[in-house]
Amino acid sequence: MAAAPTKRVISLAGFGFQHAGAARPALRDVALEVDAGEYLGVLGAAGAGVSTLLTALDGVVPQLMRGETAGTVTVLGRDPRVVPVREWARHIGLVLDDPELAATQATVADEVAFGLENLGVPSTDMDARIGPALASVGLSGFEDRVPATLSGGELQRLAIACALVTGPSILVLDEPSANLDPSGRRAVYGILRRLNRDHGVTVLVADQDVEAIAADATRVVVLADGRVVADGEPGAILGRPAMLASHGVRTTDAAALAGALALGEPVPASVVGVARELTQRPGVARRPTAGVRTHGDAVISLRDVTFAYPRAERPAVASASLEVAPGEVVGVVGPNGSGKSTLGRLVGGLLRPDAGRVVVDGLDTSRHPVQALAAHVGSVFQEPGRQLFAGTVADELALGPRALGRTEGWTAGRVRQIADELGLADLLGRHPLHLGRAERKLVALGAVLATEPRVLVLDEPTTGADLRLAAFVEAQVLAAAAAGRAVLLASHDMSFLGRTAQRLVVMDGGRIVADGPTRRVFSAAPLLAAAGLEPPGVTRVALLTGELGPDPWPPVTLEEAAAALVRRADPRGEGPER
Amino acid sequence: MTLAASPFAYVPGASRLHRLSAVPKLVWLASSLAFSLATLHPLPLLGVTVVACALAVWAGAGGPMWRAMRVLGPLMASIIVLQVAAPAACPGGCTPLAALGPLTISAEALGRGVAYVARLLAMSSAGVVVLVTTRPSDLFGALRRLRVPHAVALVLATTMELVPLLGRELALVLEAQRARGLRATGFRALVPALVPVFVGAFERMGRLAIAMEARGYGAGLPRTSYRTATFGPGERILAWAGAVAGAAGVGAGLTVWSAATVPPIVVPGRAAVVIVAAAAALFASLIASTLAAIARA
Repeated sequence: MAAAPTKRVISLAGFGFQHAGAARPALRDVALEVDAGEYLGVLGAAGAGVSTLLTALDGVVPQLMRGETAGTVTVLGRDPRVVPVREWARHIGLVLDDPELAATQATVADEVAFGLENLGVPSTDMDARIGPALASVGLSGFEDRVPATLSGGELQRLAIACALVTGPSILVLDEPSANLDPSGRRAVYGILRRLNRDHGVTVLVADQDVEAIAADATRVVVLADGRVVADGEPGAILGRPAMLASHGVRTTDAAALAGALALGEPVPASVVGVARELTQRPGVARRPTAGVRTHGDAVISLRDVTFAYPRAERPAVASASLEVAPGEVVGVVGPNGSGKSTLGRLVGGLLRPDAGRVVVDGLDTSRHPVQALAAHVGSVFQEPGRQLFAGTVADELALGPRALGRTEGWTAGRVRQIADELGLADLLGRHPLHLGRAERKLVALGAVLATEPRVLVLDEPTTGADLRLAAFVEAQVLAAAAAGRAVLLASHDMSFLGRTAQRLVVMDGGRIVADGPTRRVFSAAPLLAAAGLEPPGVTRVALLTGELGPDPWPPVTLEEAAAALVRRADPRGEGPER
Repeated sequence: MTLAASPFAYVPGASRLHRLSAVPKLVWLASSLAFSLATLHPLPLLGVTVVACALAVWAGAGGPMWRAMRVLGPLMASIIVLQVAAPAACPGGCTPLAALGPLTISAEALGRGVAYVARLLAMSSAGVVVLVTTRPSDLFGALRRLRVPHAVALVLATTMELVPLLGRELALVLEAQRARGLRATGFRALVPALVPVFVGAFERMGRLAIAMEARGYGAGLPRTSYRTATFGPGERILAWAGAVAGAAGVGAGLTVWSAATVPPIVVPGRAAVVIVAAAAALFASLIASTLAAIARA
């Protein structure tokens, strides 16, 4: 590449920020220099200060979110604390984590035009700029669609088009893939890659899902507790799983596997890299892995269930049959709109089938009111804020048991137990809606667990979750299964499903197109690809090395993969202790 | 994603009415509303309604118009019931038509009920036909063209956005409550639901404000408009004609069709009973379905 003089576009020194009324600063002593054309992945656990840092670049912090700043910040030679937020629109495109925020106008074309209108671009010039902006995100032909009717993935691409249309040289994205299915996620990251490589746009992106960042970013910055704790090449940063884990940050599946195999840091972060490293080592180990233990008759039973929403063109769930035994964890996967959430609502009794039968813990959901089912099946929805009604966390956890008529003594004991298990003991007196998103999610989960339902239905429990929250959720799912509860998980998070679900149900267009052991479904590449899915990184490493573990199917958890691959990793044949 | 389709939302289409500039449409709407407020004579008001419905059908928006009218049905029924049950004094003496138990149905009360229903029909049908055939952005372009301050237009837009948003949030919260086994009904269910609904809605509005400002939106800056409210000479004439018709209508309302005199409606006693009973049944069904919905929740 020609040695073009690099241009510094972002420069922070000793930068700090404390939200008005907050006990601790959100950012402390941040030093960061970004050159034009870089592609920066910004990683951090919930509360690490990632969103604050990103929104400080165009002055949202501190102009719209008040507080005290310290140090200096310079973007394109100017101070974003002084230049009004709206004037940054032509220089910085900001995409927030909720794609629905991009649905404010009547049509897609109007939505994109909004930014141009604000800048006073003559209306005769607008179409010439809207067309290319939509084309660059693959939404040509969508001009007259109503934004609110787009899928989550299409909306997120529209949000990027809206940010691009004003011609910014810097694009800042906060969790752009949080609500997207795997194919939507790939589309968004493909756009970012093209914008960065072909058009020289400087990209800063924060995401809990680091797989795409590992593949595309030119640099990774890690924040913890408001400070920059690591800054360097993606390989050098993501190849240190232990360091990242200590800051509550996830690395790629493949790097975590390589770390468990003690390949020597920095470990390779990509599936291909880890597989290549492993295939250069001799020896094959095959260790038995624990089988699935379920007991008793099915506690969830769907027979030929069909359900259509009013005025829908086709049923959301069509002729679905499914049985889940106590102690079994079943993952439901499929693209957005495939019927996963509807299936969960049918099991939770919130929807009643148009045809067929849904029996949960012996109760036909068509014959019992939802409230009567609540003692038997607990549903946790995607958005935690909408399921919290009480004035304190303690009351929230007690709400379910009290509604079921449990004694105050029993309820108090159960609340303490749940609070200890979920790490909520210090928050019992707080208002649930004053908590952060991760804590709200835990309270919502705890509130459902409090009634000890025999069936749990969780909708996207790890979406946007940082490492700590995901670990809590995972532990609760496994504990629930060990206690004999049946768990139904609708999720896009394949590594989470690999670690928790013994069985996967694949949905597409409202139909169940596959139902089998997780490892078998993960090895059925054409089936997964048709549904826009991909097995987790550890499984892909094992498939690439031909290391399939004890049975003909590949390993699906880090531990299984490590066990299967342990001799390759260690030529002396002594695997790391588990 | 479940989006409650509002019967008042824009329905894309390619009819003449869709393509007509929003400026004459807004002028005619304003004139119709002014006329409807100036008179209480049912015949001219029903005339406005018939024209508005015919235009909606012509523009292929008969379905949304029908849904909007159906939403208003119970409200119209309640107007008739209340006018008959609690009649205002008749200045020239009441003309009894029939007795329904302790109630006496008078021609004046029936006339007043029908007149208010006709006014409601005229105003809502005129509003619906404009809203469903005009892109909101065109509507705001036209408001700007008519020198309505931008802040007022934005408040209108935000309110139109907020109502369905609150409805969606409430449905989700009530669903979550039922899933938790809460048996509270009526206000006891609604009150705890309102906290998360409003917290959720305001959080969203706050984030929306940040997102919009980051896209360059701000008060006091020269703004352009993607959909400029262009209108040809024909449309200009149409707009002026609307203004003239509005002035004439208000003039008529102040004179021949004065709102001060509501024509009594004299029908055979049995017909009066049927009208009032039908309205009462519709009104009761609304109350019953609301109670049932609350009980189910």
